[in-house]
Amino acid sequence: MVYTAIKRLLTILAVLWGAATLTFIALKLIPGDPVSILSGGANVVDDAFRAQLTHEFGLDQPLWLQYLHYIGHALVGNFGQSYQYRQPVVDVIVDALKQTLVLAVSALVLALALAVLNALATAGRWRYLRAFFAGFELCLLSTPVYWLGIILLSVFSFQMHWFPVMGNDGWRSLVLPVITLSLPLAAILSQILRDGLEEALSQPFALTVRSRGAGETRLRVRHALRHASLAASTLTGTMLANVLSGSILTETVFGRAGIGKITLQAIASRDMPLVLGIVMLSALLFVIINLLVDAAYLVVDPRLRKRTP
Amino acid sequence: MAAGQPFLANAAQTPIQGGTLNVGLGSDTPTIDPSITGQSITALIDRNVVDSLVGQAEDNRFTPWLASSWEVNDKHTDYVFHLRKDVTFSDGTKLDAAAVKYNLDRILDPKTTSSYSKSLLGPIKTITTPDDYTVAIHYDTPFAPLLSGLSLPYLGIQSPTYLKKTQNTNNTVVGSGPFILKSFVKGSGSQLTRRADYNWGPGYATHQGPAYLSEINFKYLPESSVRLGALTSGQIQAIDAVPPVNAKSVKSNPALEVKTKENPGIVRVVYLNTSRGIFSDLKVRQAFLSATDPASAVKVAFFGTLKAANNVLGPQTQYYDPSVAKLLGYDLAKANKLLDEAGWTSKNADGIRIKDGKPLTVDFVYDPSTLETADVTLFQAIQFQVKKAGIDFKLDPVDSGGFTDRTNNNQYDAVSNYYVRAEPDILRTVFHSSYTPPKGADYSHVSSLDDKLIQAQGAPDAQRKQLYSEIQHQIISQAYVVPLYVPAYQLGITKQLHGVSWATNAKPNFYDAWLSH
Repeated sequence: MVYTAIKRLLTILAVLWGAATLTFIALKLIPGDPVSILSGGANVVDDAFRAQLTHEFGLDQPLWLQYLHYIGHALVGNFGQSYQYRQPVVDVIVDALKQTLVLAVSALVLALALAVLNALATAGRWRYLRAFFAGFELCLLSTPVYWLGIILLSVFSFQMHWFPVMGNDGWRSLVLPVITLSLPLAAILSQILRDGLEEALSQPFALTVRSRGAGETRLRVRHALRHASLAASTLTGTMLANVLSGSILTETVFGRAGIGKITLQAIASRDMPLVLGIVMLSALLFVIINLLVDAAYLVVDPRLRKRTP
Repeated sequence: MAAGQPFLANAAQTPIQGGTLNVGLGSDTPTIDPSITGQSITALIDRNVVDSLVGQAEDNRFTPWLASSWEVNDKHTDYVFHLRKDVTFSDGTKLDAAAVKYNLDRILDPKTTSSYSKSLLGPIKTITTPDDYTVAIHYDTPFAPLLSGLSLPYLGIQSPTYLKKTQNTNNTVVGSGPFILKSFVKGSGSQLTRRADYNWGPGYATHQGPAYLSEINFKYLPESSVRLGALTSGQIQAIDAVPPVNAKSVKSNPALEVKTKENPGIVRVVYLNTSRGIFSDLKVRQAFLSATDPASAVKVAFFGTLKAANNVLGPQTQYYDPSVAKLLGYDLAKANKLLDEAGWTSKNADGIRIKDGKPLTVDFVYDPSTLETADVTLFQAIQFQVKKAGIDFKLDPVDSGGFTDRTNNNQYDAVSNYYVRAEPDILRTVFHSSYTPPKGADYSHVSSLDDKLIQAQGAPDAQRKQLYSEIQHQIISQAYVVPLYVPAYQLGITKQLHGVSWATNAKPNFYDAWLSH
């Protein structure tokens, strides 16, 4: 048990270290001059000022020293100062993350609810309704998030005045962005869950449950859904990527502050400390979510809980 | 409406107190501290929060503000400012000479990493405070542009108490302005509330005392269709950067109007890199200039919402010389003749001229994220135009990191931008050899104007005018740049918004603004 825990921890560290190193190399390889970004807007900098900035941000040190310095600090959670924001990277990320988390978590919950209801209702019955939903899901999947957001805004904000277009104030301004972000997610999840359900329902155990006199609903919710959710949870990594990339676009359309926006900005302007910070965060999230998924497997599937000799 | 006047829908109406103004902005700023950024959105927001030592009216004359009077010697080396005695910052600190000196010293200190603000102050020798309400600034070499710089929000005066106790000023600003910054959220916007005890407005304002509006909310809405939808549906009362495609539909909407203020400063130009490649040849540069027809290209790209430029400076800039226009003009025959003379005589199968086996290709490097869609259309129109003279204008898009890399390493034939500044000293930033990239914006690699630019910085007014006129003529006759259009600030507003005036950096001022119902 202790051995497994240590092995897990080492794996996590290796993943983080690898992500940080690869990003560092990539950022040093692509062209761009951080000092020009540091000096900002109108860009009038004499040599002395350039030298000052270069020194202040440690850019005059040899590469290997910059790397060691960075990795050393990153291990204790200090990612340095963002070039554009002139603030500690951790502060910038935490600020943005607060906004994105609300959006992303709400969208995930909504997507999950929609998908479960949809799959439970349509799996293996009502052929025409099922076909309609499957087609609709396909449409949603291939619709750009950007466009979806603008359509929703045009109808529900500009025409009907139900929701405000603007920013991060209150739950009403969250409704449209959450729907925009969740619809494509719900579409993927629905398809996976429905396929899983249909497969489960065709298994011999379904017949056993039915023969015990259980109702159709009970069969679907208590027994088949458990099987289907295994397939869905394997997809969590992809889902996470979808939420993150979707949030970049959703945040742009709805003018929301968030991690998607700063990521885009940080990469375009070679804000190295910020990019590295964001990559480390994503890697950490990925690791944590994989741990949770593994744990969820154990809960969902009793066969995995059996102790192996 | 003519420039130079505040736009009042109905001058007979009396302003109404109160109301919240929501403004949708197309761009965002990473920091709200005006002293450490050159971002124009920071200036737009902070104009309501920080006051300046002097004001500059729309006709470029200087008016009192925090300084009730000032003296400048003929040589432009000594400036003495006499401050108002009744001004307080919103945190209760009193404005005095020490507060002003603290602000300027902070900007000059390299640790603050001010760059634009610092450049506006020029080569200051000393700052002294002869008494509690007098600030004296001394230069060794003459520096005439100081007053204009001081009037901008980048040199706005912040509370020294706040500056001293705040570790990081990126998210907050405390000034003596008519509004207080309640919140600033990067990527989202700023909320401002009125100061009830404000009584020291700039001399160019149409009223004194507190602002009419009780709140201003600046909202970052990067997607132009969303900005426009929010305006037409009445959720916000003003938007910036009205897309040229939509300008007509806004104008035809009886509830809305578009207010336009031409930028002063360097117009949108294409810089021709004189230090290498094809544009090191004067004849090739002149041929390129003659082969472009900005008038028709600008019309196509901007649907008639912007004017084609006829000089390197915009007409709103001080010492703009209209006679330079005579040097410009579309002339394909002249372009062809010049290129023949320069030895580009044969053509390849694509109709591009060849010399020593090399095609006449212009590597035009640009960062699409800093441009509007219409700009790219404009560049494509130019590509089409110059092809008639056998020139291949190659569009080479890169991201902002790539852009600085290419310009720092001198790997480009042409780039494009514009600068907003009412003071012609902006020419020094763009054409003095000490600002060759990466140190600045001398993208054309010009050094022939150094003496004149330095002389003009501190000469008496009549001589400055003469020098700047010569400089403008020289820039065009040497074809250092191709002027394209005069950029303008386009503010779409509901007709319920009145009294918005313009700052000299072509940004709207909201101190005199009010909302009717």
